[in-house]
Amino acid sequence: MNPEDFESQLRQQSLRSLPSEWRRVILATAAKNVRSTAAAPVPQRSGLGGLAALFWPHPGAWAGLAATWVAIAALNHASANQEPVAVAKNGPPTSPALILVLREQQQELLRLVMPQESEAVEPPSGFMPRPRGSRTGSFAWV
Amino acid sequence: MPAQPDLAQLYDEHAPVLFGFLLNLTRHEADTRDLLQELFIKLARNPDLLDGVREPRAFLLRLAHNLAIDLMRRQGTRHRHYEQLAAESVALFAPAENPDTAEFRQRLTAALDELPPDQRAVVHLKLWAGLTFEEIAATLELSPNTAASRYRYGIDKLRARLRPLYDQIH
Repeated sequence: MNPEDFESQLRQQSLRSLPSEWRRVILATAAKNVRSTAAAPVPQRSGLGGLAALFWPHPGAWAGLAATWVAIAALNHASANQEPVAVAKNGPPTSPALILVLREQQQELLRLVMPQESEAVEPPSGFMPRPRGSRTGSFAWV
Repeated sequence: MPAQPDLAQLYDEHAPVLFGFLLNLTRHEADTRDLLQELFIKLARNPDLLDGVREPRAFLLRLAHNLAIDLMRRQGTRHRHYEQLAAESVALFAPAENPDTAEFRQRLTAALDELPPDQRAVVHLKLWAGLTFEEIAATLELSPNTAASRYRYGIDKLRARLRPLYDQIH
């Protein structure tokens, strides 16, 4: 057996051909990877991108925390709405006389709180403004 | 941003050679398809991979070889490989009408499978990819002398294995 002949004989054995249907699938999958890489958003570290980056590592934990806060807010809102209703229902009926007394107390309180304002608004009783020319010399030069 | 290589052109020019090489290494058609797919995805994701490459075929064969080695390591491999070969006989060569040629190809497929993967890779690249020892050395990251000695060992084993049939045919 001549070594060169043997190698030549081996070289002449034609290999199986590549299945033609692979071309479409392989190139389509590769093209998808090109597009997904090109369209991938640049990671942001501010604004919504930063929030997303912050929340992403433990989304379940953050969702649970958010749900707890929503529940607390709902309970708080519900109890705030119910309180005045309960007081009104349980309190004694208001009489017209009581309303009058309350109004008088309110007016008295206003007088006590703002006495100077009411005085400042009232003009002095003895003063009547006159034209400049008709003024008499009621003051002296010092 | 680097220009995207023409994947279709690369496929048409090099995929047949890559297919034969990968099929000879893996001896499994589905694995070969997966590796070929992985190689083209790698090219699509890294458009600058071929920048400055003077011999794209040698470069792609090196990529294919590395992917095949990784796959064999992942699969843990030889036990699975031999079991798989026992279960199915992958057709490495084209079907032949001449019964002698068909039998020779069948025996050659079996003889190649008995070679260690490093010898088989060198023999394949020399005989069926048409590379020189220098190119094989660059592709497989060996010295040219190592490539040549692996080829010689591999050819000697094939000759010993196929001699009776070869003498009978010729």
